Amino acid sequence: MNTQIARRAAGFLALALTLALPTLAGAQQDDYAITGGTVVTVSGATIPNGTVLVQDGIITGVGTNVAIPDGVARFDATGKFVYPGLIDAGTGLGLQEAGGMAGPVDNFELGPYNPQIEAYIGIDHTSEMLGVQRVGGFTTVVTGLDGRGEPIPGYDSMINLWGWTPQAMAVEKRIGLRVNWAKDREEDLREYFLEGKAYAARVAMAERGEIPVLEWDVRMDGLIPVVTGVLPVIFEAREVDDIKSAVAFAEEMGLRYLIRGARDAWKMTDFLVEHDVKVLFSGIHGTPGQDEPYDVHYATPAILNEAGVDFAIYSGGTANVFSLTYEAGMAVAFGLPMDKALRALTLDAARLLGVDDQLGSIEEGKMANLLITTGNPVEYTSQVETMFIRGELVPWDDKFNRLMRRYRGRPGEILP
Amino acid sequence: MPRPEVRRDRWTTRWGLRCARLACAILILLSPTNLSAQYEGRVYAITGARLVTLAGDVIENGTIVLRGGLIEALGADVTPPADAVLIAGDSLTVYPGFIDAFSQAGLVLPRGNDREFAGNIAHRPATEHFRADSSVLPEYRKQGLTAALIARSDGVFGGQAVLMNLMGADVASMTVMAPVVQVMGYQGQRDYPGTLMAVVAYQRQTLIDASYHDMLLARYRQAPQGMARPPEDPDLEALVPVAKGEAPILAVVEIENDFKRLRNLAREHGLRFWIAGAQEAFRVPELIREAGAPVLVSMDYPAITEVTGYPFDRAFKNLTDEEKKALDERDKAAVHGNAAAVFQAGVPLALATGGMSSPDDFLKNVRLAVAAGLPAEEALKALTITPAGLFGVADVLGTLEPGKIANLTLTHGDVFTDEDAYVAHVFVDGRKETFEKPKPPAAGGGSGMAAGSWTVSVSLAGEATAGTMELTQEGQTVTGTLSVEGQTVDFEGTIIAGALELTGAIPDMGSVTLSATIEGDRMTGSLSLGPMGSAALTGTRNPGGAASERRAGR
Amino acid sequence: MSAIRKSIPSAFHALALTLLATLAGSVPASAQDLLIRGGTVLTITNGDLPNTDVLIRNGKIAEVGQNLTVPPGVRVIDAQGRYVMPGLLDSHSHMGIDRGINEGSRSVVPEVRIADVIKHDDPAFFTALAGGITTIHTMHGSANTIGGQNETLKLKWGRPWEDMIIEGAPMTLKLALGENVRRSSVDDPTRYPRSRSGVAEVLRESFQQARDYLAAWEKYEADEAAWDRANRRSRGLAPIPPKRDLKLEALADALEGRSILRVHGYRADEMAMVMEVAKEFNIRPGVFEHALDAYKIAPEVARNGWATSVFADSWGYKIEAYEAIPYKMLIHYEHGVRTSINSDSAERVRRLFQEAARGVKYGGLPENECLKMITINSAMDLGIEDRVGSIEVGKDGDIAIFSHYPLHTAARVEMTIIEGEVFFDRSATDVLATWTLDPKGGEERP
Repeated sequence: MNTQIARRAAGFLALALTLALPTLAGAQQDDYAITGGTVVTVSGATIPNGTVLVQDGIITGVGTNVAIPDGVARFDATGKFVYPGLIDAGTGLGLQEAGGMAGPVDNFELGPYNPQIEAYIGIDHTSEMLGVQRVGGFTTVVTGLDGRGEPIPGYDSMINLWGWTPQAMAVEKRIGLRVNWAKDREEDLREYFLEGKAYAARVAMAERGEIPVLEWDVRMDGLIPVVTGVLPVIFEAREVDDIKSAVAFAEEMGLRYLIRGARDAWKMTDFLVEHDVKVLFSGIHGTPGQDEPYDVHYATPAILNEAGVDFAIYSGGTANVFSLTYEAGMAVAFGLPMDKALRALTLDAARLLGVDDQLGSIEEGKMANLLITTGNPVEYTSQVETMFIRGELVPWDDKFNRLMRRYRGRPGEILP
Repeated sequence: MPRPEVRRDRWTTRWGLRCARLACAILILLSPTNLSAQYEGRVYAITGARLVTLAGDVIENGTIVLRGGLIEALGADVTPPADAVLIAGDSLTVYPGFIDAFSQAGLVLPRGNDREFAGNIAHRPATEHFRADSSVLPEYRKQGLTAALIARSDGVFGGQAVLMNLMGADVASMTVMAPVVQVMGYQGQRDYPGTLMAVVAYQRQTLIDASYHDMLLARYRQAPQGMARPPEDPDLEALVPVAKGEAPILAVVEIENDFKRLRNLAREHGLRFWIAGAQEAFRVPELIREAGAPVLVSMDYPAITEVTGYPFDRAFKNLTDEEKKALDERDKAAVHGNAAAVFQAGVPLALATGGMSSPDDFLKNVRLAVAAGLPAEEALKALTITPAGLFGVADVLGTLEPGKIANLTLTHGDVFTDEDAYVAHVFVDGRKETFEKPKPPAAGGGSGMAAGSWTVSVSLAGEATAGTMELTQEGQTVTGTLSVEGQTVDFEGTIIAGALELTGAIPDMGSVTLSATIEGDRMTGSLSLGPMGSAALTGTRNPGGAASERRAGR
Repeated sequence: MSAIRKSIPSAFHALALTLLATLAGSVPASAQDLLIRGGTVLTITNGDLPNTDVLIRNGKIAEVGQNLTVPPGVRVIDAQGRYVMPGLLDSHSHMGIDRGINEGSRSVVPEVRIADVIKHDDPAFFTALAGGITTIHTMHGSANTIGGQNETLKLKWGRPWEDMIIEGAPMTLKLALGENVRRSSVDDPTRYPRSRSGVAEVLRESFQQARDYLAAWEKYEADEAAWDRANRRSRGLAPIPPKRDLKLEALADALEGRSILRVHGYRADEMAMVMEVAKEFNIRPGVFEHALDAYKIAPEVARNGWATSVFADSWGYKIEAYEAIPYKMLIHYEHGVRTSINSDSAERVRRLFQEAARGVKYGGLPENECLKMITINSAMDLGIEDRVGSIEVGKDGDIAIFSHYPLHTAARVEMTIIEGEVFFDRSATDVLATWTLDPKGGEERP
């Protein structure tokens, strides 16, 4: 019995060390260097014993020979790994608290077409749902209204999971316009988008003084960025026919676009490659139909990768977004190369969403969203020990860690 | 806890009103047999027919005489009496009237909110809800069925099954034997027991309760003093012979595991049982053989996708079309071979409509059973002497013999093997009914799809009005009436592939057209009222119509 | 008492299984014999053994060691480079149940039994096998304060359900607390109880009724014995026995320690309540299902000897799950609360090993502790730890073979074996990479 207790005590000590919390009080943006770790840049070669220099929230140096200015704080990552922060390319975070709870639900607006809506502005940035996702290594997510299935719920936003206001968290207020596509909605949406095009043309003419000033229409105005190809449309489509008709529609309208969901993508890889379709895939953990192979969703990312389909993955979640690393891991077990799984959560997600100039890899000039970990975050057992968002050291003050500290520290038995 | 009967009364009243308005006249006019017109004392002699008596050799070119509802004489050299109405039987085969061994013919049970608790209603006969004038009875007779064991299948201990003749003026005169057997099923109730698992628990406890009740009653009779008086409980008392293993119980089972549930319960409580329905008997032949129980096999063939074990060979498998087809053929053959499998198991076999959505395919499905390996002569026995013996009426039904009840089924051709054969006449209690040779079903129009009585709602400009429709169908041709707010319109038209198109005329308004699609017991469509515009129309078929409750609990 | 102690169904059950066992003995031995060659054997209870063989004979583990000789005719499975672990157990499932898992018409229905309604052709059994699961505990839902008797099954896909039932596995009784019970009563405004206090009262009342029932039988047996001894001429009529009541018998089984309580609960206060009631009635400690807030009272749970069966990190799906944290397994471990990880879902059951890996991620639990949560700890939840849950000589030959260490990314189940028979073999299973498309289904794959 004594040896068991001793063994357990030793175990606790080890655990306590692994769970050691950052000691800096509060989060101060500061300049610093992370040294001694293996830097997995994602965009380029992995750098053993590398240094990452961060100044004013931006990565200003990466390599083995980075000059560290005087007075810059150092984080010793010896024996650890430095990764870019993970990105979930599709969530409902901040717009609803726990499912089934009375409380704020801001994930839909009335009416079928809401291209004037922006997700970030409705985010409860103090939501407990946001902070906990950091435990999985996520620094950045796309979030949006699902519109309860209505055709146009609004613009998805990309936010960092740390910040004192929604505005400070926003990376892109409009990352793309969500359209819940279905083949039988095509006619109505065509009419709506054509109207949007005409409106955009009239606005341009009015700006050039060719016609008198128009009566402003908030919804039509919301459509301008997508009908003019500035921002993408993110079509949610799952089955073959829906995906094909969405692609045809986007090509006809000359849109920038992504396909989201894409449950049946494995059935149509030729089509997706031929049309250069960018895919955000979700549902790796979904259960197969009886007329499908048992591993259909586990193995779809590997099939897409082999066929050369350009894709990233997302969770579609609110509470358990952090589990997306596990979905990526399952895809690895079923044939997706580990480095692609990582890219699907970092650089590929950033590139598909058009923010690879800011995020997704450890490169000079990019936003300092960084992790110090015990291993590849796609590895099931890796632990994220330290996180930086926009260069700020993020405290482990999320609900999971708060409750863990509170109840691990409570006195022993108090019930009779 | 049986529900009060108030609701049923209300329901009866509603039915009665509708009857008064429409049906009484129509039923009498349309009913294929105008019973009142048939002289009670009429004597029939069928001459020159092939008599399959099942009580000796087949009599080719024989004569059979029916008098006073009984068989008076039969043989090759019988002379028709002078007072007999002669029926030339030279192209006819005469069988003992077919018996539907487990049936819901003519049962009209309260549904929806009026649904009764049928957890334990063991003292009540199924005929409580039997309607002698039910419009479905001619459909059964058209299949050659002259008598049926009527039983509720919606209960746990759902009451007493009763053997009824399928033509007659009233329940009392149609009853051949009551009660025949207690019925037990696996249907959840609105109250406890609601789920299958509670049904099984309830079966167990009820059987224990019945035995205990019996013990208490015996004890109380022996020495009432000093003992609490056992409460009156006719339902438990009715189950006592079953619980003591003295009388069999007729268990309505469908899928493989139901058979095992039944077997286990019987083992636990020492029950004797018969099996009704038994759609998946072919999956448990050993169990049937060991149980040695009579099986009243439904001629309902489940879709192969619904059969237990369907996923075993298919789920998550990359099958070619040929492989899929081969599996489907195999399974279809097994489903059609169900009655043959029961016969092979060496237990008494009877055939039944119970579980079928309508009796219209009964003989067709019997032919499929024969084609799948059930010997035709066994199929005949399964419709005649076997059920007559099981139900304790072998002295009055099941064979053609003098003195027996004049229930006869007369066919053109061999209905067990020949698709073109049909039932030409039936006699029930000596009363004759004659059927036309069935027309080949018109392509696309499902038989009986529109027929029945419908409750409809017509909404015009947002205001809904309730009404009724009575439709009859012959091939693709549909005729009937729509009654709304005291106005009745006659319609005629067609149904093709579920699409109903009818036209009619309203005085002072001109023609109206009704377009609707029918799926199962639901109708949706519109009523075009000329200058008044168009009204939306939805309808549901009233219970007891052509299609009714389908297989439960998969 | 003997009449109710030995319930007739279990006697029949035992008889049927004896018959089966006799039959099995006459079957050629090779049907349940296997040698699994050269894998890394994760015994769970006795460390990890590299390059080790496992010999299964007649469905039981006969030998574990290096370079075992192959008995004649025994099939050899090459597991070199692979990981061989005991078949996984899912301690909380609702798969394979026919026509309803909640008898919601009443709040207390301990008499209903999952064993009566098994649906053995549920395709979810196959996908669970493909995730290395060999045993599931399939249960009533949580709409009722006392929901009924659950069943423990081996996932012998393709076999009739009688073959799946584990002989001698103790009865487990489902209880439920909190919102689901309350809500079911909100749906039916006449159904008691509506509050957590009411739930406690219903539990007390139910167990008190069972106590009274036992007492009535004891009195009867004493009376009957006295009557037996009494003078035959003057003794009068025999005493009248109480009526057998299957509901109260199931509760009496719990009172007398023959069944294991499986108590659906989220909030810590609910669990504290049940521990209090159980102590009052001297009921043996059971298992809390979900138990997402048990970490808040881990010392008390440990002291009372209760165990927990949890989700690793699922949270926030309803208000009761709003305080759940993925560090719960760590806190339980630190206080010695036994924990299993369950699926409660036909989806999650396919990857329980991955759920277990979260114990390492969140708090750095030792890897073997995480594996215990899907094997031996679950077996203890079910009272079948002497048969399954670890690789030990004499236990059932239930094995999952993984491509990689089961807690690591890239781990995939290659083969699942139950009692020496292969029920899932990925190399013989159609997989996506070899799937041909339905011509109508869309584009052909390259």
